Amino acid sequence: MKINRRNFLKGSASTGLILQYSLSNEAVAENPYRGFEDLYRKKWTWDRVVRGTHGTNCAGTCAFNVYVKDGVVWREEQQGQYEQLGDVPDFGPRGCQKGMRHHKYMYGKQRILYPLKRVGDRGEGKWERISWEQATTEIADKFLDYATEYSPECISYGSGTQMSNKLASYASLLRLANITGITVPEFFSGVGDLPTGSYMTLGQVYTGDTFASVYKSKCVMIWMSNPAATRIPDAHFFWEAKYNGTQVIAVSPEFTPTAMHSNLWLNPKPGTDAALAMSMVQVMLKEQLYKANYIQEQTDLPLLVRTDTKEFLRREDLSLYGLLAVADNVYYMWDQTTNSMVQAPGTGRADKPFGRDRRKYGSLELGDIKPTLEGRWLIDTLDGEVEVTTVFELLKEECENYTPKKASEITGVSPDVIEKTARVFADAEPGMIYAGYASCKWLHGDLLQRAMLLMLALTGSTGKEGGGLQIANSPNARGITQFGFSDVGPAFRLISSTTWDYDHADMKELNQKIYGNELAEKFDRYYKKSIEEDWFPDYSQNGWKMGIFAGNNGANWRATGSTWRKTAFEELETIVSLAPDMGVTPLFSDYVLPIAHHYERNDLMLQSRVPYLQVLNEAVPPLGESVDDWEANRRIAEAISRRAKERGIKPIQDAVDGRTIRRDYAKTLELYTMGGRVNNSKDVAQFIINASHGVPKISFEELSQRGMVKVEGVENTMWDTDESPYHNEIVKSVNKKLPYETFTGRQQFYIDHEWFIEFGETLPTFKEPLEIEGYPMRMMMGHARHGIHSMWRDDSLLLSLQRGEPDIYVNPDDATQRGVTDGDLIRVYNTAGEFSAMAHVSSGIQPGMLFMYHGWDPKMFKDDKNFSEVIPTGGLIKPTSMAGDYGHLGYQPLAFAPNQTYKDFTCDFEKSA
Amino acid sequence: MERAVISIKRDAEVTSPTRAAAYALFSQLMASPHEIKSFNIKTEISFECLPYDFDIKDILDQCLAIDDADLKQQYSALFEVGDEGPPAPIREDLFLAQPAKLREDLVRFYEYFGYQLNEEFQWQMDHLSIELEFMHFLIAGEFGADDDKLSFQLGQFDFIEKHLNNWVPQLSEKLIILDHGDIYTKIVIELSKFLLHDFNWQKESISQIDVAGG
Repeated sequence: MKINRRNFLKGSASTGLILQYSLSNEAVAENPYRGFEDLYRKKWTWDRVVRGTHGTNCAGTCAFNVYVKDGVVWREEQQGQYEQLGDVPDFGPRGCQKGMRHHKYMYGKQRILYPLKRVGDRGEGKWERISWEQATTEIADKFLDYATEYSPECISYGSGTQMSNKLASYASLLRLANITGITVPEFFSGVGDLPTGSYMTLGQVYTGDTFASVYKSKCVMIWMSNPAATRIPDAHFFWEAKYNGTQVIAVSPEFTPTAMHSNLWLNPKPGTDAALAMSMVQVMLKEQLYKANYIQEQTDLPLLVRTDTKEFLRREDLSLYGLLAVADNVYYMWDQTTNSMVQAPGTGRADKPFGRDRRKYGSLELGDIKPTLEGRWLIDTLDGEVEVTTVFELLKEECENYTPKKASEITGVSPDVIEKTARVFADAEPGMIYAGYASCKWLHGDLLQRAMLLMLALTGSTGKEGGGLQIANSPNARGITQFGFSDVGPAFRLISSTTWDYDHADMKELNQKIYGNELAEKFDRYYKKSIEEDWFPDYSQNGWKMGIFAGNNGANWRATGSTWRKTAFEELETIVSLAPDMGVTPLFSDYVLPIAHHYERNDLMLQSRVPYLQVLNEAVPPLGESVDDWEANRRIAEAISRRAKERGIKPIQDAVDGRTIRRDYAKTLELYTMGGRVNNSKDVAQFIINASHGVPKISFEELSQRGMVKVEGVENTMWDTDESPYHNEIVKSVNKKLPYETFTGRQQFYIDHEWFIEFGETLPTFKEPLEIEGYPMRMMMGHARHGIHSMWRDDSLLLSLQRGEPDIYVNPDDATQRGVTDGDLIRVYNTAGEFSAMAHVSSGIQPGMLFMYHGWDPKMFKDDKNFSEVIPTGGLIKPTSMAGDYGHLGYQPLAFAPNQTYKDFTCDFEKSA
Repeated sequence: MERAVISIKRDAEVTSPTRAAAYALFSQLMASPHEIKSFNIKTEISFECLPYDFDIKDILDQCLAIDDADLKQQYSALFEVGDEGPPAPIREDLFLAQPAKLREDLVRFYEYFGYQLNEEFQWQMDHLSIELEFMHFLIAGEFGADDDKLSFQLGQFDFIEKHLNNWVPQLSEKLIILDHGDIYTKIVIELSKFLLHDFNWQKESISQIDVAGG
């Protein structure tokens, strides 16, 4: 007789606890038990080995084998079956200590196993376990209340980095949002990862190639990045390149594990990197180390600018016809051959969508034109005779502010080192700048990226294999959007998390408190102007009523986390978290829905630098009552439909960006499942495979067996063919001479938008980072070796590889001045707040700075206060990043949006009492 | 090395049904009330046949008087939810901070004796309720075995020593410190006493002699 556990429990209740297992002695008949050693005589076997990976935002996408026995994952192992692509080292094996630990972590105490409802105050940690039906019904009722009384726009469904990388999961969110009309605050700009300077210059943020492209570089500058610790599966490409002769130069204020392995380490003072870049540009210009042919064809450096208005010379300056046809946007250059002004090739035809027509019809081919880079001329215009010069000339003038000597005073880097580095980089064909997302997290990070791109343009490196700016790329993800929009068309709202915060979390008041009224009012004025001009969307007219957070630990990573929790969360009437693990965001939620972890779900991963589509398989059933994101959203959709019918809610007319959408909430489930055609995450994954460009057409079952499959169009280490699923616009401009998707149709280093002129940022330049008066220490943070954001940060084994608790690096001199020794608890503070952490005294840290690896949850700190207490930058929205009505500048989701900044503040520390 | 056993005082025919019932009762009491209405228990169980002095009738009576919703709330608050994990994890592996090999040891025990969990419970093979159920299973094995009662007797002894007694007393102490004033603290305190009684009785009823040739 075989009794299962549930029957045992029921049986024992009803039969008075008689012996339930009366025939259970068969197992030991042949192997008598005489001691616990006998348990270990039998070889341990696996029920199955399953392909899988970790659907988190480490960009690793590492193929793993997951070992399962008796419904439990016991271990994992790197799959390691990557073929060699071309003449570069291969991508395998891939993995790191965090992934190798997940079989333990997934059963850890932090797991959320059941739907929870808050019974105490928010953040108090008092919960009631409730059923899925109760949870989704109550959520659905609140959802319907807000959607019908106000508008669905007042409900936001924020995805996080853990969610967005799993294709089927993100597609599910997108579909639910599209059907219901709720607002999706995207995280790319929200976490400060959006390279807006790249977009300003190239019209693209997706410029990165495969990781193997590093091997093809002759000089790679690893700038504000620490791949030895944060890109463990791929860091080998840097060291293999170094052994192959590539100059590997690390640029970071602190001595990182990456700097340790590099040929050269430059350590500018925190936040002065743009001065360093501009100085290297100055050396290249002065010593004529630039590739003239490249910049004449590919950049705006030869374009003519009026010296009186600081604006480009355009056709409307020259003729009444041009004045009427402003949209033509014809730009000019000076031709050496004819000694006359000529229209720049590739300009004109800039009707919206900006630049796209130009890409279709125009060309950057210079033909017989030989653009002059230097000179000044007098031109007859409708305003009379005006002087014009080239962007190149203006750049030279600007660079005189950054001679190596002057830059050294700003950065602390020796003039000799600056000159030497500039020459090495200019000599490389090609040169690469591998920049971390930290380069986006400064208020003036855009200026740094523009300066980096200038270095790359002068050396002709952008768009070359082994060259260019490597920050971000992303799949085109057509399958995801098609899944989201199928049957209903695009009808949803997408904004930046940064603006969501600004609208909702009293960030202007915070700016006033920290940076003073003048800055706060100024930034606010530009913010409002951008919204009024409709350059950027605003869905906050009714205020935010309900916040849903999926795979999103926003209350941890948000700048000014505690202020954000107090302001944003207190004003939200209902907060729902979908999460696998307990953290500060679920902790402050009203409802928490348990979500399956990496080995408990079917999904897909396709990351930017690894040319493989990777599967996540449901190796074991989701623990407890957790479900995957598709299923969680399906249950919410079901409850919305059911309650809409029960409450007799009529369809609403929902105005979205000028269109009216009919929302019939009774049909939410039907629409979500495409009339029952899509029933689980496997179906979603298959849809995405079928609909995505550049992804091999393979069944999910076959992919499950294989683990990963190479994407199409990978002929070398670049994303440079239309067959690949990745963006390759920049390469097309370089190779096929198609105009860039910028206002000038070129790599645009000069921006004559009125706000850029007003702020003195027409050209790349350096601006001092903000500081808080009276606080001398600049606190830097970075991704950690032993966690991916907040995930795995609290794992006991991984903690044992560190100091066991949050630690913060301090310079020995700073420590001594404050009577602090290694291991002391120190209090870090400024006008925003304070937190405490263990002092990690290290000579690898510059005097005047603190460094802390990020991701630690507040619950790991004294008084539940983490580093975000002292980071008051959540409201520092750079005005120029919300500029619009200027060709390519204007809101572009996931391309041009204001970054949340994290760096522009100072603090101090003392030994904790 | 092999252990031989003289079970002169064991009298399994008499002690096993009641001991098994006691373990089953505790298994049920420690199961999540969200999964089963656990206190729907017939209280006519007599513990008089236990080979040691033990009775939990008072606790059982208190259990039966508690509203189901309260029971669920108490259970979840202690064992299932919390901002840093549940205050008192109800799973051995979690309670002991995930030591290496612990779960493997459990699975090897279960596999060796032929105890199988159905799929939905497999991931929590270290749940207190399941460990207690396994003890019930072993006692039933001892009762039903014609030739080799020894295997089940030693299995019980080793399992309680290596697992239940390795953490239930600590769980009891933890609950006392937490002082939620709930029924489960009382149950675990009684369970801890019961395990000690049963373990001591097993020591008395199993004489261990090392013999060569194992």
